[in-house]
Amino acid sequence: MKKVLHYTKKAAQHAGKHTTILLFPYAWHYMTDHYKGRLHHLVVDSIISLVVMCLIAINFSLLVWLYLFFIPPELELNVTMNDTVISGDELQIDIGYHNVNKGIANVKINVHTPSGFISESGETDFSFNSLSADELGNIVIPGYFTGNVDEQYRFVIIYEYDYYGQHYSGMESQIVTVSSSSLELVSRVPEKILNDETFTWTVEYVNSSDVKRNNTCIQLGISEAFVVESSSHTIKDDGSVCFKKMKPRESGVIEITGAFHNALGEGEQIFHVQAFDNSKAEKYSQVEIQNPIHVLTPRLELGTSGIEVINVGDVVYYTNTYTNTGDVPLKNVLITTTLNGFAGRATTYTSTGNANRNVLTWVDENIEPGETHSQTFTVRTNSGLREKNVSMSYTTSAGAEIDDLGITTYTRSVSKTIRFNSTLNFIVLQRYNSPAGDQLGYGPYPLKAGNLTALRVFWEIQDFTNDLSNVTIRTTLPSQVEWTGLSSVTEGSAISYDPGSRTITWHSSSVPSFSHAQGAQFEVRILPNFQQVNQRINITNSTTFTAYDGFTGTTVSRIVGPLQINDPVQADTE
Amino acid sequence: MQDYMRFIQNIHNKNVVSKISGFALIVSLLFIVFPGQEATAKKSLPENYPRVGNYFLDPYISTYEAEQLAKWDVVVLGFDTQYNSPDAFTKMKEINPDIILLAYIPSEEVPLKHLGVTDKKSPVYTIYHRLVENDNWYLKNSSGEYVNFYPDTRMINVTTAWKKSLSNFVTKHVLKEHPKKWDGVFYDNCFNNVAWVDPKIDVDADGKADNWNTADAQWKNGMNVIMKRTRNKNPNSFIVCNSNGDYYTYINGRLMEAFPSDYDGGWSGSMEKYFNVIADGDIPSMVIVNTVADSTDSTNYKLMRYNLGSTLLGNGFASYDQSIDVHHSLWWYDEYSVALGNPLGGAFNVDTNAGPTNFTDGLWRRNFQRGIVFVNSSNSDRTIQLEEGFEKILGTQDTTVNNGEVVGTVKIPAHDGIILLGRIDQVANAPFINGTFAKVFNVEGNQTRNAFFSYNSLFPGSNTIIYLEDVATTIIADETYVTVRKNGQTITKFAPYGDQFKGGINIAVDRLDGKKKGYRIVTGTKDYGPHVKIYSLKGKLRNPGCFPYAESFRGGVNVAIGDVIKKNGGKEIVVAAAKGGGPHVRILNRNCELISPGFFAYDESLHTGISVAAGDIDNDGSDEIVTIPSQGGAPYVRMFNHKGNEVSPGFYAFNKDDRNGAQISVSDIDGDELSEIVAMSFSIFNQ
Repeated sequence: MKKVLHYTKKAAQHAGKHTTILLFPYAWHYMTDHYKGRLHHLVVDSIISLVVMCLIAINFSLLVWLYLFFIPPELELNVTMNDTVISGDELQIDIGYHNVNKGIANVKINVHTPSGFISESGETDFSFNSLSADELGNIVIPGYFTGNVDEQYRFVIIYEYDYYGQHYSGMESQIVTVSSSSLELVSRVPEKILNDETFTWTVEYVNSSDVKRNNTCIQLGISEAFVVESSSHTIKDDGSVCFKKMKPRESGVIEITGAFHNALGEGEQIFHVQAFDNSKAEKYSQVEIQNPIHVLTPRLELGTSGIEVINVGDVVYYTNTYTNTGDVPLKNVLITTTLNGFAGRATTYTSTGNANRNVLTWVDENIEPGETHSQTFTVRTNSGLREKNVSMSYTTSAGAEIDDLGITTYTRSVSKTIRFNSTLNFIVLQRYNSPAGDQLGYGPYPLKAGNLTALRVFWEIQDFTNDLSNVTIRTTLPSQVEWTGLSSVTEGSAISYDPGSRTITWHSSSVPSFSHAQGAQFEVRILPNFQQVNQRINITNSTTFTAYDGFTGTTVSRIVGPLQINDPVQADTE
Repeated sequence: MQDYMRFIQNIHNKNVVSKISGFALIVSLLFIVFPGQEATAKKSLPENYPRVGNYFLDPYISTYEAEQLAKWDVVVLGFDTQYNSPDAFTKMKEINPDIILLAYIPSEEVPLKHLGVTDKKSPVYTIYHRLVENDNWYLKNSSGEYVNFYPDTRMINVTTAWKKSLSNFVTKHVLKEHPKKWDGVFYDNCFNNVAWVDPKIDVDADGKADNWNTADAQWKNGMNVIMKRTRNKNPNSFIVCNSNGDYYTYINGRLMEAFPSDYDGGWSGSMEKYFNVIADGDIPSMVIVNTVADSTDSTNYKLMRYNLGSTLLGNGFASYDQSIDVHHSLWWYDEYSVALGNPLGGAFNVDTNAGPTNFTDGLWRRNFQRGIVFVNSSNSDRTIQLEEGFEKILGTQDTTVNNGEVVGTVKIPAHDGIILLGRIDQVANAPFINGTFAKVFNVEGNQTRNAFFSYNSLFPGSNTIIYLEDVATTIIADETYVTVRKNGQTITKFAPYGDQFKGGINIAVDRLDGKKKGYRIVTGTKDYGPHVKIYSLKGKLRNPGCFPYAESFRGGVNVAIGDVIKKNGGKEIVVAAAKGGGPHVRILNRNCELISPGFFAYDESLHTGISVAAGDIDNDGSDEIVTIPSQGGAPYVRMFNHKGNEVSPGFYAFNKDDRNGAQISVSDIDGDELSEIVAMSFSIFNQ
C-alpha cells in the first residue's frame, strides 16, 4: 500500500512538473535557471505557450457554442376560447405562453381575429422585451364576436422572438363555430286565416346578451299576397325592420297587421324572419325562422245584430246571421257565441241551440251556396244590477266542413259590446221636517189659508250607477209660492232663480256616482188663499231632469209632475 | 324699584339736586308709594249681546255664588265683600276675566247696623266710624232729628265733609287698594234733590227749615262734588249711580231699579231715561236695567223677558231679581246664554218705524248679528209676520216659548218680549262640507240648535270650506286645489299633491303655534295615500309633511288641529285614516312628527275611515278629539282626550242605520264662546 502511495505521489509530482512546464514554461524556467545561457529556451517556450493557448481557446469556444446552440430556445403557446360561440355574445381569447428553455428577447405575439371580433380593450398585439427561461404567462383578450350562425371562423396567433442574434417565429390557430345568435326571434301567425281576413303577425325579438348591438335588422320575408295594413315599426323597402341600437337584454315586439288578398285557393304561405347584424362592414346572418300559415278562401259570412246600449231589467234579443258565400254546400256548420261579463248581470236563452255556461252553440247540418241562416238568443238582464260602468260582450264565430275538399273552414268572428245605461231615480219631494224630525219648514203645517208656511223642496238623484255630466234640473213656481233664496246643493254650482220666469234651475257639470247622496234643496214660502181650502195646491210645477251618461253616450231625462202639498189646505179657524 | 334707586344714586353722585330734580323725585316717590294710582285702562264692555248684570247685595259671597255670579257681565257687590270674601273675587275673575265688578256703597245714607261695626280692619269701620265722631255729618231736619227715607238707615248730609270723605274712601280704600277686585263703584241713591225726604229739611244745619229749592240746590252741589272727585281721582273706573241722578258728566250711567217704574213714567218714560243716560253718560255708558219680580219665584219669565227685551233695545245690562229689598238672586235664564252678537242698528217701532227718540207703547224690535228681539209694551197681544224664518231658543225653562221651533210668525203677548235667533247657514272657524245637512250637539249629545244646511253658495257643493271669522278669509279645498280667498279675491291657489291629483283634499286651518304666528293650512288626502302637508295662508309650503300611516295605504288621511296636549305647547295635528282605513287616531306635533301612537276610536275591524275634529267641547280648557265613521259606518260620535280615554258617552248623530257617512267638526256655532259638535252628512238626500 505504501508503495502504491509512493509511486502515485511520484507520478503526480512528475506529471505536475511536466504539466507545469508545459503550461507555464516561462515561470518554470525563470524559477529554475532564469534562462541563463539558455535564451533559446525562451523561443521554444514562447512557441509552446502559443500553441497551448490556442488549443485551450479552441476548446473553450467549442464548449460555449455547445452550451448556447446545442439546445435551441422554444416558446410554447396554448390558445383556448369559449366552448360555445354565440354571435353577438361575449367571446374571450385566452393565450397561455411558456418559454421552455432559454431566455429570449423581443418577443411579439400578434392575434389575428375574424372581422366580427371586437376586443374590449382594442389590443390584439402583445410584446415583451424578454422572457426568461421557463417563464409562464397568460394573455386574456375579452371581447365579443359577431358572425354568421353555423359558420366557422379561424383565430390565428403569430409569435416571434430573438435569441443571440437568431430570430425565431411561429404560429398557432383556433377555429370556432358560431352555434347560435344572441339575437333571438319568435314569430307568430295563426295556423290558418281567411283570405281577406285581417290578422296580426307578431315577431318578438330579444337581445339575450349583455352586449349591446348596433345596426341590427330583422328581415321580414313577407309573402307577396300578404298586404300590410299597419305595422308597429317602420318596414323598409327591402322588408327589413332595423334597430340602430339594441340595448343589452332589450326585447320588443314587431306587430304587422294585414291580410292576404287574392290568394288562390286554399294553400300554405310562409312567413320568413331572419335577423342580420350590420354592425361591421360585413353583414352577418343571425337566426332564421319561418312560419307556415294556411290561407283559406272564405266560404261563410257571419254577422250579428242587436242593441248595444240597454237598461237594467231589459230583455233583448241578439241574432247571429250566416251566409254560404262559396259555390259548394257547407256541412255541419257550427256557430259558437262566447259570452263575456254576463255572469250575475244577465242570463241567456236560446230555443234552438245549446247553452253551456258562457258558450252558446248551434249546429246547422247543411247550408247551400247563397243561403243565409240565422240563430237568435235572448238576454234577460238583472234588474237589480247596480254597478258602475257595466258592459258585457259576446263573440260569435263559425266553422263548417267543405265536402268536396274534405277540409274545415271557418269565419271571421264578430263581436258586440253591450253597455248598461245608468239607472236613475229622480225624486222631487217636499219636507217640513227631516226624516229624523228636524224642523226644516215653519208656519202652520198642514197649510192654512191666509197663513204663510215655509217648506223645503228636495230634488234627489238616487240609485244611479254611471257618472253623470251636464246635469240640469229645472222647475217653475206657481203664483202663490215664493222663493226665499235659501238653498243648497251637493255638487256643482248653486241653484239659481229667475224671478221673471219664476224658474228654478240647478246645473252641475258632473255628479259622480257611488260618492255620496246627491241632490239639491231649496226653501219656498206658500200663502194659500181661502179659495184653496181643501185643495192640494202645487208647490212647484213639473220638474225636468236631464243629464248625459258619458259611459253609454246617452242623454238621461226624467220629468216629474207638479209637486203638491201633502195635505189639503185647511181653513184658519182661529 | 331698582331703577328708581339707581336714579336717586345718580342724582346724589352728580350733586345736581335742584328744585326741578327735587320735584321729579317727589313725583317719582308718589308713583312708588301709590302704585295703584297708575292709570289702568277702563274695561271694555262686552260686545256679545245680551248684556246682563246682577245686583247682588250680600256681604258674604260663597264659592258657589262666586261661580254662578261669574256668568254675568257686570255684578254689583257690597264694598265690604272685598274684606269679607276676598277669594270670591279671585274665583269670579278666574272664570270670567272680562267680568265687571262694581263696589256698592250708598252715597247719601248709612245702614244703622254699619255704625256698630268695631272691626277696625273692616272697610265698613273705615268709612263709617267718622260718622260716629262727626254727628254734624248727618242730615237732620229743623228739629235736629235725623232723617231717613228707608228703614234702618240714616241719611248723611252730602254738603258736609262727607262728600270728600266718601270720595277719598272710595278712591283709596276701594278702587286703589283693590284694583284687581273692583272695576268701578256703584253709588246707591244719588238723588238730585232732598226736600222730599222731610218738609223741615235743614241742609245748611242752621236749625231752620230750608227753602226747598235752596236745599235741593245745595244737595245737588254736594253730590256733584262727590261724583267729580271720584271721577277725577279714578278716571278709568266705572262710576254708576242709582236713582235719577243727573251727574252724567262724571258718571258712566245708572242702575234703573224696578224697571219700568211709574216714577220714571212707566215703560215709555223709563225707556226714554234709559236712552238719555246712554246718550249723556260718560263713555262707555253703562246702564243696568233692573226689574224686580217682587217675589221669590224666579219663574215669571214674561217679566224677565220684558226686562231683557227692553234692555236689548238699548245697549244696557239686563238685571232681574227678587225685589228692591232683596237684591241677591242668582236667577239665570235661557235667554241670558244666547249669543246675539252685535246690534245691527238701533231699535225701532215695528208699526211706525220710529226710532228710540219716541218711545210710545207698541211693538218694538232690534236686529242683531245672530237674531232679533221684540218687545211688546202695549196692552194687547201682537202677532207679527217675519220676513224669514227665525229660531226660537231651545231652552229648558219656559219651553212654551223657548221650544227651539223655527217660526215665520210670532205672537208676543202684551208686556212681554222674545228673542228669536237667526237660522245658521254655515259653520265658522271649522271645516264643513259644502251643502251637507248639519246637526249641532253639545258634549252630552243633545241637539242645541236646529239642524241646518251648511252651505256657501259661492262655492261648489262637496267642497271643503273653512271660514276664518277673525281674518275674514275663506279656504276652499276641492279634488285638486286649495284656494284661499279674502274680500272676494283669490289670494292663492295651489295643488298640494300636484295638478294631476284628483282624489280630493281634506283641510284643517288654525294657528299651529298657538297665537304667535299666522294660520297654517294642514292638508290631507281623501284618497291615494296618507300624506299630510303644511302650508301658510299664502300657500307657501311650510313643511313637506309626513305619512302618519303606511305610505302603501291608499285610503288618505283626515286632519284636524287642536290643543289636545296642553303641555306640548302650541297645537297638535290630529289625524285619522280616511277611506277604507281603520279607526286609528294619531297625534302629530306642528312639525308633522308623531308624538302619540294614538288609539283606536272604534273597533279595529271597522275599516270605513273616520272623520276627526278637535275642540274644547267640555269647556275644560283643553281640546278634545271627536270622531265619526265615514261612509259605510254607523254615525256614532265619540269624544276622547289625547290619551284615548272617552270624555263622555258617545251618541248617534244621525239614524243609527244610516251608512251614508258623516263628517265631524267642532266649532262655536252660535257664538256663545262654547264649542259645539257639528255632525254633517248628505244622507238626507238619500232618505
